Amino acid sequence: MRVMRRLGTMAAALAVPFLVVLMSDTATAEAIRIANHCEPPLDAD
Amino acid sequence: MTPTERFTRLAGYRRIRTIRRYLLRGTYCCGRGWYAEGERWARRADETVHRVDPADRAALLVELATLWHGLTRYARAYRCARQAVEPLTRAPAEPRRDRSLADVLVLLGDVARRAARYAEAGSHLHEALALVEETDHVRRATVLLALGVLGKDTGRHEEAEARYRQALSHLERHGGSPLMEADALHNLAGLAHARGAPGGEEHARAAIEIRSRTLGPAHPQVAGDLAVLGAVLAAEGRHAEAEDALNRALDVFRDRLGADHYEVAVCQVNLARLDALQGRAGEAERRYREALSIKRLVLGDDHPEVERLAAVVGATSGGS
Repeated sequence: MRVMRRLGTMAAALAVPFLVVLMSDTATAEAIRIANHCEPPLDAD
Repeated sequence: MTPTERFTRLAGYRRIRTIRRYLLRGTYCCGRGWYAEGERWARRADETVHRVDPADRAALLVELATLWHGLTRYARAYRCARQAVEPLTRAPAEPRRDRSLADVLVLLGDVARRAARYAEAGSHLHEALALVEETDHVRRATVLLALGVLGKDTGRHEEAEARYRQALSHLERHGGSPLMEADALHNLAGLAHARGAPGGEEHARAAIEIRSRTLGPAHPQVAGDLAVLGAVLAAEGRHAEAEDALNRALDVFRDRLGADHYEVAVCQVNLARLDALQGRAGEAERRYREALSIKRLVLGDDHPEVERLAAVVGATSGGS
C-alpha cells in the first residue's frame, strides 16, 4: 500500500513539469473557447 | 553573481513555479466546470503575477488571460492580455513568441468583439492569423473560429461559414481536440439559426454529444450547446422542446456561473420570446427585464444588444 502511494506521488511529481510544458504552448490555444450566442430577432416583438 | 543576486533569482523561480501551480489548478477546475473554485486560483495567480520579473511575466499573463477567458471573466482576461501584448510585441520575433502573441491577440479580439468593438476585433484577429504557422493546426483553428464569430456578429454570414468549415476541416484532418470540434459545430448551429437555414439542430446535437461525452452533462459548455439547440428549435416552432433545452441550460448557468451572468440573460431572452409567442405577456416582460438588467451590468448602456433589448422592454411595458 505504501509502495503504491509512493509510486502515485512520484507519478504526480513527474506529471507536473509535463503539464507545465503543455500548458505553456499548444494547450493555451486549445483552452481558448470561441463560441457564439443565439437570440431571436427582437424587432419581431 | 553575488549571494544576494542568487537569492533573488531563486526566489523569482519559486514564484513562477507557484503561479504555474495556481494556473494549472485553475485550468483543471475550469475544465471540470468548477468555475467558482477556478476563479479562486485565477485570483491568487493574478495577485502574485506582478511580483514576477518583467522578462518572465508575459508568458504567465498569457496563460492567466486564457484562464480568465475560460472562466468567462472577459474584462479580467482583456486586462491581462493587454499587459502581455506590449512586452511580447517588443520581444524579438521567434516561433515561441509568435505563438504566445497570436494567443493573446485572439483573446483581445474575442473580448473586443463581445463589446461590439468590431474594427478592433478584426485588427487583432487578422494580426493573429498572420502570426500562426500553417502547420499549427489547433492555433489556426482557434483564430478561424474567432474570425467566423466576428463575421456572424457583423452580418457577413458567408465568410463566417467559410471560416468555421476551414477550422473544422483543420481539426478533422489533423486530429485536433474534440472540444474544439464541438466549438466549430456549436458555431455552425448558431450561424444556421442566424440565417434561418437548415442544419442547425444536427450541428447543435453533435456538439452536445461530443461535449457531454468529454465533460459530463452538467458542464456549462454543454449548457451553451443546449442553449443554441433551444434557439434553433424555437425558430422552427418546436416550442415545448425549445423550452425544455433552454430551461436545462438556464439551470446550469445559474448554478455554475451565477444569476447575473451574460449566459443567463441570453437564455432569458430566448425564453421570453417563447412566452410572448404563446401569449404569456407578463412572464415575457419579466424575463426581458431580467435579461436587460444583466446585460446593462455586463455590457454597459451603450452596447447595441442593450439598446435593442431596452427598446423591446419599453415596447412591452408600454403595451401592457
